[in-house]
Amino acid sequence: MSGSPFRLSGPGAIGYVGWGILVLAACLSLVVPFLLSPYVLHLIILVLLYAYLSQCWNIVGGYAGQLSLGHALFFGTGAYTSTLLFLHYSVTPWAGMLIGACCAATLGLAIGFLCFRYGLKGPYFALVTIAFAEMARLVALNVTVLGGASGLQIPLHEGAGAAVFQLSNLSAYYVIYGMTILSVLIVNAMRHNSIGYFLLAIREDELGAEAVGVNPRKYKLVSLVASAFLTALGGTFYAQYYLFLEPNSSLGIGVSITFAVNAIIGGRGTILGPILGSLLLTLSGEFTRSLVTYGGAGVHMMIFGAILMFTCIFLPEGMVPTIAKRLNPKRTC
Amino acid sequence: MDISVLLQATINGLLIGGVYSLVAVGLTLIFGVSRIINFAHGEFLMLGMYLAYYVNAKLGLSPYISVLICIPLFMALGAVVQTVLVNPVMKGPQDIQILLTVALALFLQNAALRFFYPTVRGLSIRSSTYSLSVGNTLISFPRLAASIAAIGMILALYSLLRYTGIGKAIRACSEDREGAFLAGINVGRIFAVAFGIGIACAGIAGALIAPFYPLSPFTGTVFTLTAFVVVVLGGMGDFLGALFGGFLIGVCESLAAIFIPASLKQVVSFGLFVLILLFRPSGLFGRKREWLTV
Amino acid sequence: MNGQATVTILEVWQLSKRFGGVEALSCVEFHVCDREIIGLIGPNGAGKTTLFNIMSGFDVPDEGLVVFNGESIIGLPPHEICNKGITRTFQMTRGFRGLTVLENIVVAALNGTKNLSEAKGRAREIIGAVGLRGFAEKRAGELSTGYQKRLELAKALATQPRLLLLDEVFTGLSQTAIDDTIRILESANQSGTAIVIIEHLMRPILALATRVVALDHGVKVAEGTPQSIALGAQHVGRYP
Repeated sequence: MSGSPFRLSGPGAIGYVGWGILVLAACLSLVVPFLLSPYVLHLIILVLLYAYLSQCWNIVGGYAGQLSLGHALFFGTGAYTSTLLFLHYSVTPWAGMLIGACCAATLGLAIGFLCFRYGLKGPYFALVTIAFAEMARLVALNVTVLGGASGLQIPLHEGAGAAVFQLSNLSAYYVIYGMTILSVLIVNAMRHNSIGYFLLAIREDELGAEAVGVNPRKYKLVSLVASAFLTALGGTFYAQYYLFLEPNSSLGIGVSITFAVNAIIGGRGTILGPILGSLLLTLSGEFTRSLVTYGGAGVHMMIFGAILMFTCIFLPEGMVPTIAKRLNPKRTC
Repeated sequence: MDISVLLQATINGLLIGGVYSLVAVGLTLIFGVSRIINFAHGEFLMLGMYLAYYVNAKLGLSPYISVLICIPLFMALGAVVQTVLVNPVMKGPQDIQILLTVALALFLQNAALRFFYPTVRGLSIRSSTYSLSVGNTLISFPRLAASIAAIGMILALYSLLRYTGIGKAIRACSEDREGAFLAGINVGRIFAVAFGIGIACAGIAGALIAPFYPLSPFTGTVFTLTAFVVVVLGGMGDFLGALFGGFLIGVCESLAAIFIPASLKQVVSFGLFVLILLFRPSGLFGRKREWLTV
Repeated sequence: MNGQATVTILEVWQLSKRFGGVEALSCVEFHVCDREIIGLIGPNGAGKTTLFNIMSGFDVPDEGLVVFNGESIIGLPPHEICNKGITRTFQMTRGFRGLTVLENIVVAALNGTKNLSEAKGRAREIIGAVGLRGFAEKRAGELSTGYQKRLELAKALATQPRLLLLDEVFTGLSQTAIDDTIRILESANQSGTAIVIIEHLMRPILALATRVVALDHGVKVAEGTPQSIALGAQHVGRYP
């Protein structure tokens, strides 16, 4: 079956069996929510949200191989834009979502254009993305219109558009469920298209890719803009779900790291990776948070850091490719 | 605009700049020698602060004594961290190296959160409130002491790198790893030593600022980012660049704080950071080599 | 093989390049005709790879012109030059290690066609032609050096170049591999590709090239048929 976990055609790392299980789980997931308690539903929504966000990060961080540690910028832009439009102009979150995403995409275009045009790669690109996200966070902290340090509160609103997100966890569940499926479909389509090949080539060896006719700047930019757009959609969901927005939890560096780490631990450049990573880390996070009393927050992130260090040292490719290699032992050719 | 306001700001900037320089020198040393971008650098500064705090709280010793404790302690810590955690990823992709130090930063920061709690503390010693009056300006004693001690440390480190055997070995490793290895230098040990020295700089800086800087588990991040700005400004791996860059950034931030809200002054540093990375990646002083330049 | 080709497709004129104080290339003039195979020889540091870098867009000259198919290509990025028809290989092979051999070649084949299935078809053809059949699903990073060189060549051919610049593609290969590669290049040449080969080994040059250019310290020191150059070089004692 497959030899490379990044296989650009066919079933990829998880194989046909893997896809079968995934589809089955997806179908079950359509009905199961009705049977679950609100807390468990909330957990699943969280897992799906971070799976979605990490999958969006995966487009530029996994497939194009550009380590962005500033994706909170796009997330927060989507969240703040739609929220402000909602609060001040009663714009429905559905429209706000798209407008916020366009804003984020524009930011992605500007940042990407500058960085890639001037040849920023690897750690330098990561540093610049961190800088931009931090600048946005500082601005949000200090500008009163954006709510400052106390953030923005979103009132429960009975209007047509907003209702879907807020009225019950159930409808929120279906929204994020749909978004997650959408992200999987988009990444899958990318894999089966020439852009998938170009991005992976750029990731593996940018110079080598350029030598065979691939324009690295163009495709890196495309992947960043697409990733920014989609991430911002998630930002709007987050704002509408929690009904509260503040700079540290939406633009902080921890947020950016979470998106990246879910995908990396799960497996960069694979479809299942971000989903698996989110499942593992979001659930373990909630678990430790609920277990320990006061110092809880610290412990869960300590574990997070430890897992990440472990992954870097022993499983740098992430879980999915490592498992895939075990299941399909190398054939001798 | 009163000239004395500008003068005061400049002096304050120079004072904190000395500390920035020390932290940045440590970071640039680590980068210059092993090409590792240590995202956890500020966390070691934070640990140095906590060390000074608890040494003072439990043993009644001045933070300046803690500085002396910091040197061997952090060097040992750095050597261990490098050997156990960083070494395994040194041959791999750079992205993984970055993630490792990011993970370390997360771990350390949250360990501090767990064991020291999020309360913001201040360390107050007798000299915390002393200040000198020079003309219209006020020079706070702890800041002055921190700056002078920082400069002293930097000069000591410079001499070490320039004139001692181990310093030459470090520079050799940074310029040509293979060549140094073939010349019989234990490259692995040099990496450990360099890492140890690098984070010792951060730890010492932490102990030095403890008497006047508020302390919390989150203090480190700010310094990591500032250190990055300084290192990029001065040229990655450039020792003297980090030294001058620290003062420059200190003064810029301080002056900027006059005109814009204090918490936004970092935006200026970041903006500068991005501009330099884009348009002058070899740093303001432009000494183009990527290895440790002393 | 080369009888009818007199159309010049590439012209290098008064090319100079300095690195610091060193003159890597000094007023080098050079041309390639349609479907020609040219050998480019010279000791290490002669400027051969620098010349390739400039011709393929990875570097810009300080002075001089490079004209391909009637247009100047100086300043164009490498991918654009590849799109226009010049492809180069690297001494240190640049495979996409995490991708399979087939995927590697498909990336290159997409230079010639937008259609993915067409590119895949072409990639499979090339895998056969180059002798990598059976390795198609193997990760490029797992190949031995000899096969990696073959993959490098396969990718270059997949881009459908008008002019192929090969940088030491024979170095380190076994005798049989060298023969195979010579055959592959002959076949590519007959399909319409001009080739410039940088090589230290004389056998491939003698077998393939109709003209040889020799560089030393950035200056063109000789140009002629392979036989005359080989004789001259032996005489001066440059090559064993």
